[in-house]
Amino acid sequence: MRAFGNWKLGVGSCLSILVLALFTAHAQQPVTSDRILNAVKEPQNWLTYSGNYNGQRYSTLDQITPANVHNLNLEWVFQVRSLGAADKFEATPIVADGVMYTVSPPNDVVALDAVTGRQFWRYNHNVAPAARVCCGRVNRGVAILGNSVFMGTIDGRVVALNAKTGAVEWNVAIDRPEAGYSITVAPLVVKDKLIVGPAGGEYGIRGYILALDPKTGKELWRFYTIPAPGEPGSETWSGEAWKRGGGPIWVTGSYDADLNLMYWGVGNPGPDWNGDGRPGDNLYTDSVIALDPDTGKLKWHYQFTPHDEFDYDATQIEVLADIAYEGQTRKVLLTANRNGVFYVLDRATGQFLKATPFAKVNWVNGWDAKGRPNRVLAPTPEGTLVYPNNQGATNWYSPSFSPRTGLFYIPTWADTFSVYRKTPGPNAVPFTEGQFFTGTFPTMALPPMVGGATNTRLPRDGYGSIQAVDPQTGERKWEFKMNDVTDSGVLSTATDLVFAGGREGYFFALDARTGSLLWRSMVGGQVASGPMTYAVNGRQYVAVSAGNNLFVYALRQ
Amino acid sequence: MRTHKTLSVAAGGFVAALMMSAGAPLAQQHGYSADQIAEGRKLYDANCGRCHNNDGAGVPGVELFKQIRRGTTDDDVAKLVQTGIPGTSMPPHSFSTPQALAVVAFMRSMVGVTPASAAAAGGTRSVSATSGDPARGRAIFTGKGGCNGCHLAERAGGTVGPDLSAAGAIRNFGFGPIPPDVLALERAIVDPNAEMPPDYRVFQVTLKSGMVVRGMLLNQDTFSVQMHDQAKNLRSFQKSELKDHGFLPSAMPSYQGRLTPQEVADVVSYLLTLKG
Repeated sequence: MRAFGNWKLGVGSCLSILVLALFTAHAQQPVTSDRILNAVKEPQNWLTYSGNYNGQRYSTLDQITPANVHNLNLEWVFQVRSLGAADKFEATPIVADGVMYTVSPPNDVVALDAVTGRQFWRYNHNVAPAARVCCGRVNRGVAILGNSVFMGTIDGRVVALNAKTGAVEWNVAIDRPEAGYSITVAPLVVKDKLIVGPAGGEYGIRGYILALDPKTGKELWRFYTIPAPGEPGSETWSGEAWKRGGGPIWVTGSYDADLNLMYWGVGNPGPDWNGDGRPGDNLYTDSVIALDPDTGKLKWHYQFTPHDEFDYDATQIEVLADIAYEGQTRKVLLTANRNGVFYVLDRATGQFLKATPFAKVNWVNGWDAKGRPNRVLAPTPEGTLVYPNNQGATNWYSPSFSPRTGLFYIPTWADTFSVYRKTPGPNAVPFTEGQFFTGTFPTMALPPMVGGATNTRLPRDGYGSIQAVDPQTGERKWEFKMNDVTDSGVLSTATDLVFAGGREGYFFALDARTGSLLWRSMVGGQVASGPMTYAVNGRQYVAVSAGNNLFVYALRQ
Repeated sequence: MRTHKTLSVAAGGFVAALMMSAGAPLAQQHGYSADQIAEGRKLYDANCGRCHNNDGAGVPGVELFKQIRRGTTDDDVAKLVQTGIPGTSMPPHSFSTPQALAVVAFMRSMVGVTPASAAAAGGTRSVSATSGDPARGRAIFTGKGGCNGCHLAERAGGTVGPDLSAAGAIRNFGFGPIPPDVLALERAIVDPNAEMPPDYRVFQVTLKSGMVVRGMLLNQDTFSVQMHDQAKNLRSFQKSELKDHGFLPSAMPSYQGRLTPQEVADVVSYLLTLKG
């Protein structure tokens, strides 16, 4: 790889890095929840999954600019264990005071020197053979609080590690992996609680959000994403369907301290592609839910896709921003949903403000004043052609919002379709614990995930893009098109740079105002994670997991 | 009730087209439920799809997926479905008015759907292959159709196109036995471009100098193309140095119009007898 030729560090600079590393080691302070709350005041660190509670994935670091971004140089690479064909390296690293924590798939935690990439310690989790994952052994990263690092595991556990040593502080079973409960989400720390939830929407789980005591792993409260009979929302289910109604949690929520509300996106109902056995809207699947982090009480919800039969999980990042909206500053929640629609909601009340498709969409043809979509398509025995496809027009890939440009950046699968088929009838999809509970898998024109000739993919199969949308109007301001689709997140910075990548294996920087390409690096594996940035001793770094590696760049010195 | 202003932009023009052509009259006249559309779809598939295809693209010049040209109101279109169009091949249908409106609801819902995709995705309806005669089909294959000029069947024929010796065989692939896809066979005859086997797709790049290179696409990304040329040399091009690039249409002619629907059904019936 070309950039290795640029390693020109002599003995002297190695020593100076050592000295700096020692210096930063001394500067390490416990990561209090106040520090996470005020993360914007220490942009050199990245203390929670999205960098900040507002989910904006926007950094005020300004050393790397449109004028010098072409001087970005590969500083170091961290290689993970060799991944299986369906596995992906999806973690966003945490950086605290010069130490980087990330998850090597499936569930090994490493602490690395953020300057050199050298390992301080490693924790290897032996995954139980009972673990069941729908879509590869993945993990989206750790959380940090105090001197502890927290990871969910695909065998349904949460592990707390000493941040200095990697020693296990506690390791608790959250749920039964043999029933399809796995944890892939990067946990969220809010005040004195650690918040997680299980994936498993393809296994007929009953999802929930869980608050744990970070000191012990003890459960503090639990909010079921599928209400039991008699609870509010249970009227949107019938019979026993709620028991295996899905509603998984697998992407980290955001948090507004002023309103004291957390926002979590809830995944698909089960079975995914046949709703005949679960008549009704199926709350709170495919919804955003606003919870009080102290009690787990629901304040409001908004359902993007009622009675979903297209696997349109709402597990996207809920981005919190205060923007001028129709003449007044409003506290809004912005989200680009898997169902192809960009939404603006009032995050204090959940009031529906706007819905705008950001890719080709044909399952809906409008919304009523309360934001209920008019769904016009459903799977049929002979097949129903639906835009966007089953992977969605976007997915868990972190978007970004730049308060400077006022633009919302969406990683997009543009103009893709699936054909959904179902055998009608309430008992058409049998349930067996631990086995797929989905219905008929839809057709999808998907590019190969791991190499192979690409002449199986045609222009009609759609394309990938990073696009910028103005939340005030819903208008697309620019679009950077890629030949192939993208599972990459987006990072924006105070210098009006946007970093992202795609399945082709390019990691690149765009002009945040125009979308023009400023820099690119071929990393040789798909970017399936959100890029992040940090600084140590005044030097800014940009990091991205791609393929089997974590790549870290900085300006050439 | 729908708030149209929220839908008016982005989405590659598709949604805009949907709203302009379908949304406005819909909202003004009838608010259709998903059930009505589903009901309309059933009626459409059973009664209209034979000519119009299930994607609305079956009758040249009457692309229902683009627009419904005759009749501006849904009531007009429903009446037209009931009475037919004298002087054309559109026959009358014995639908009740609610049924006819349900059909219109479904037609409105498909406006804007890309028909090539719909066809490629499966489900094109034209002639029922079960009505074909294998013996007649075999005669057409080697006679009027000239299919054996390019395709191998029963150990005879050309090798330019895909080998059809086992076109009717049940294959085991992944999850279990896959029966031959009758609709795909039919489509391959009348619309060979809709679904070409990847190995038969010819990729062509045109350099800014005007030089043309054809061959097999091996890889492609946003910035570059990798391919075999016709001599199997490995070639790589930066897209910035190309005037044009893409797949060529199929070398196989469409038999739409060259063979009657009955003859197409006969050929399909013959292909289904080929078990390899």
